[in-house]
Amino acid sequence: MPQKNTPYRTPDGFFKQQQEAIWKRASSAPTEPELKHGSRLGRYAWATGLAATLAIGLFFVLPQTPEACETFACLWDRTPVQSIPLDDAEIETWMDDDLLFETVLNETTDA
Amino acid sequence: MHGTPPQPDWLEDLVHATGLKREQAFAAMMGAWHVPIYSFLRSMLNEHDDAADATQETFLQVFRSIDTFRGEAKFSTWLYTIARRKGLDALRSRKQLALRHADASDWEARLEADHFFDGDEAQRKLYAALQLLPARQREVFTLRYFQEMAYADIAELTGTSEGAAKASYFHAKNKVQAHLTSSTD
Repeated sequence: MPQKNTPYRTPDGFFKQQQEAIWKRASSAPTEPELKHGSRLGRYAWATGLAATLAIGLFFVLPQTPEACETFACLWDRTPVQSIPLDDAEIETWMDDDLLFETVLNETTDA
Repeated sequence: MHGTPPQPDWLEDLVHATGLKREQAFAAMMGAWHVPIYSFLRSMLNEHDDAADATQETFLQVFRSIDTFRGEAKFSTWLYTIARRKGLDALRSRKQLALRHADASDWEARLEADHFFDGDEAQRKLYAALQLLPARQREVFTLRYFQEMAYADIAELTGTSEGAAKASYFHAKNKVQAHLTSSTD
């Protein structure tokens, strides 16, 4: 596929290193039976890890009484959510949302 | 009657071969598609780290599901469909959503400070304008302008009609031109 040159750059050796990493992961991927066996063993380790993490988290969080947020930015900073659970239809709709650009465009062209 | 589209030479080996032959087929695929897919995802996500992660996930997914590829579509369209899905997954992230609130001057400043962006002032303005486009238009503009993809393929990839893809491209182009004109006045 033809490519126009772009000003995007990557770290030295990025493509070679990533290709090696992908091959390594792809060619060493476990088989289905291995995955099933691994998941049974991993369930206990996972549960133990979760319990330990919760205990440590509660130790630090419970004694503190944070002040109530007054701004959205404050709430945003405090939320532990790292990924918004938009479903496929919602994200496709969001992709068509012109509002952000139109606002900026009107501000610049009306001035 | 529609024939099956021509497929790359190495595809057969990637699906059926083992050992060195499969590794060579993998290397041939990466040689052909690694840079285009990274560029597509970089335009979509802007940040090198996010694009690198999504690129890796794309090719791992290709490798895992290559035996489900039936050859009814072009390999490139199937590959871009997976890349697009990985890109959309990344767009849901908190970091990417926060980026959407930046304005043109924020974007220009970000690009100027970005070690992995090597553009001059005009390119910074162009790429900042691109970041302000709605995601769909940015995606179509990137596929058409930078990747020189046919409208029919863009339509298949994004699940729209060829006419809608053309309209998105021309809206995007007009908006970018308007923004560049206004910012140089």
